[in-house]
Amino acid sequence: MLATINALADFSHSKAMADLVVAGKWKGELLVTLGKVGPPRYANFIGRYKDDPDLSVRQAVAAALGLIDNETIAVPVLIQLLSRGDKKEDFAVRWEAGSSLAKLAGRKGSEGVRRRLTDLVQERNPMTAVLAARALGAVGDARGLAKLRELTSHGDAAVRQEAVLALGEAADTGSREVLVRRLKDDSLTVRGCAVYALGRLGDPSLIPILSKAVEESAGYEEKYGLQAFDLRETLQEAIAGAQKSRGR
Amino acid sequence: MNGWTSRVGLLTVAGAVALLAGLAHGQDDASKVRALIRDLKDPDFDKAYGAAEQLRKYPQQRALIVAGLIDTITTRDWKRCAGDMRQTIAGALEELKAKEAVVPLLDLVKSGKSIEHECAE
Repeated sequence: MLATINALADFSHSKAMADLVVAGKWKGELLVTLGKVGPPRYANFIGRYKDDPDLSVRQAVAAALGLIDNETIAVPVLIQLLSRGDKKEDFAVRWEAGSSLAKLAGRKGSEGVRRRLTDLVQERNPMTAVLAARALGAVGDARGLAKLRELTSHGDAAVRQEAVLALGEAADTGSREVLVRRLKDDSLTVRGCAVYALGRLGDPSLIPILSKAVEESAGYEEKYGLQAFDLRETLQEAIAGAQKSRGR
Repeated sequence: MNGWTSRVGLLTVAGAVALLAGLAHGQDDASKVRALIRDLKDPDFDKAYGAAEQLRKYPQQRALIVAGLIDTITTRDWKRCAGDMRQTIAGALEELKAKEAVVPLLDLVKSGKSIEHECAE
């Protein structure tokens, strides 16, 4: 139902949707649709829900502000959503805010957004820095990519994981060496992310390296009795990605 | 001249027959669609769901179908799986790109009637 409304609604339905949100009905879903079709002034309305106690609503605010055409209102709220909260459940909101900032940074004349993101990259909080760098990296900004490469060797595995994934998303060929190094990471999750990221580079010469890394990871799991990850599927996808590039 | 006139006459008759056949076919489809919309309003989920599926076969009857779907989704209820039925109808409206359905759908959301998936099948 809400997917249908999302697909069919236009700006003329904004008021009716906002009324439903105020009434507390399906806030998250309708806020995203408002972001998609609402006139720019609705960015204020959407931003009002940034402190909602419901995580899915805050996540929807982050997504909606990446869709609406009002950078002046959207960017400060998104930066706040990206930077705050260190609880595990906050991550989804922060990640979504980063994705929306990447969308805004990709628009024409977005130097202001990029500048704000460059400031955030310098933040002490490494998760804030990595998410901001990811947003910059997604639009090919060298400052973001450089920070992501640096953070692939951070002490916190969760930060390394995000940095590696972001370099994969950006398919940054200049990161080949740092990503290959992560194939021997202490964290199997980071190793898996490195396999994925290297697959995204589309370099067929990496296939033997990836296969060997997955084999070694299986041995590593056995040794420590982990058996939590099966990297074979990730490897298959990575090889398929690399082979596709060979066919090009 | 006579041959030409008779050929034109034949073509006219053939065209008229084709037009009438087309109209009859259209009318036939319209009556099938009306019957299916009646079934869609049936409180029995299986009967209503079957009708919703059948309605997809008549995209040329869009106006009739959209009106029937909107009327049904806003006024009817089903003995079981009502949320699923509403989702199915909403999906059909989306396929038909029925923008005129948005306001009634928002009213439905406001009404608090179930719009969520309830049944396992």
